[in-house]
Amino acid sequence: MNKKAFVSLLAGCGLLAVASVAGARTLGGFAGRGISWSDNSCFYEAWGSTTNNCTGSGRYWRTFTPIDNSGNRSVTVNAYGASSSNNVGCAAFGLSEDDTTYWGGTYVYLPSFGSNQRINVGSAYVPGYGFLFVDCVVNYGGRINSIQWSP
Amino acid sequence: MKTMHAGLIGVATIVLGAGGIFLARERAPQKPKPTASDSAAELSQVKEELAQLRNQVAVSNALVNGRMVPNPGTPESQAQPLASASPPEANERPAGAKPTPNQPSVQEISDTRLQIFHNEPVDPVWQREAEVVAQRQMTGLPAGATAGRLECRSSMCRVEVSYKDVESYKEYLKTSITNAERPWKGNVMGGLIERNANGSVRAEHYYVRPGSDPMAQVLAQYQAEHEGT
Repeated sequence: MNKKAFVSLLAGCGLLAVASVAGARTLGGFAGRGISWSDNSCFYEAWGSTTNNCTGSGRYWRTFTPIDNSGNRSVTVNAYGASSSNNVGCAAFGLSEDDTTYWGGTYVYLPSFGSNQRINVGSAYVPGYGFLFVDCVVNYGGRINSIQWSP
Repeated sequence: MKTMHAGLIGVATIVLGAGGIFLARERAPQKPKPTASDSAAELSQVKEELAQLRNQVAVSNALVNGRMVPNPGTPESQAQPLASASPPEANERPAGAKPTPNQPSVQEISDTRLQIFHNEPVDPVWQREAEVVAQRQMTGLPAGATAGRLECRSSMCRVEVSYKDVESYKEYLKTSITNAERPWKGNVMGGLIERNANGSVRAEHYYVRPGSDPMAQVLAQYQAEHEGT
């Protein structure tokens, strides 16, 4: 590799690392999985998003959202449902590092149907060294486009 | 802020180190056109130098975050991050959600929250409605679990529950707390408050009134009590 390009790459990586300290983070909807192993085949991928293709009761999907510091962490989910039969509802949970102490967890649903919508899931407290996950219950045809959170 | 300082020091170290390598190489006598074996050797050397730079950044970050104390008389570049020397102990963790300064531990949160709960006035109207829903929420308790007295005040309800073991407690969290169909629609919080020798555990569960934010109160009270410490 050209030396100058190598030095530029190193400097760029460093600046990116600093820039990522603040601000929000985002994942595509397929960066999660069915909580029940048997539900995994329900969630199919399309251009980074995921859609529940199973009829019947809503299927549970979960993703883990890496965070940097303790405190209240807010979450937004961009999702789609053609109608109320294809609803999507999500909740955020903060956990202690030993996975026993918990915070959060109000399920919030799509505000309207027929177009992509942001679900303001609210926030969950995460203690030092703890972790955060987001659960969504997705009806048949419901789609999770992406998830945003404050790290 | 500490993290930002660590990041800035890391970037400065990388840029200065890489700049040094670049200048040193530029000043070196010109060599004949490199062969394939020369390129491989050069790549190996660059990798080695990059590893050294990474180590320097790790050392700087550890020093800034207070995870490592430099040995007097030892150059920083020779100090080793603790993470690579031995498994991280409870107060020497290399990663994860770092505790924000002036934020309480899990135990301190539990203590402060209980204090706030006991000092809350009772909203009799909400109390009656909330107790009905909270009782329904508790019907999801696993077999063998024993609930204490449910108490609702003005922004939250609290109940202590004994479980036969930690797995039983987690089963309740899995089937009832993270369940979208659960009776309690507001926020929930809780955790273990006692572990017994026979494996049984005691937990506290809080059911939060929609629109209330007891955690904001907990953090504000904790910070007020620890201001200047």
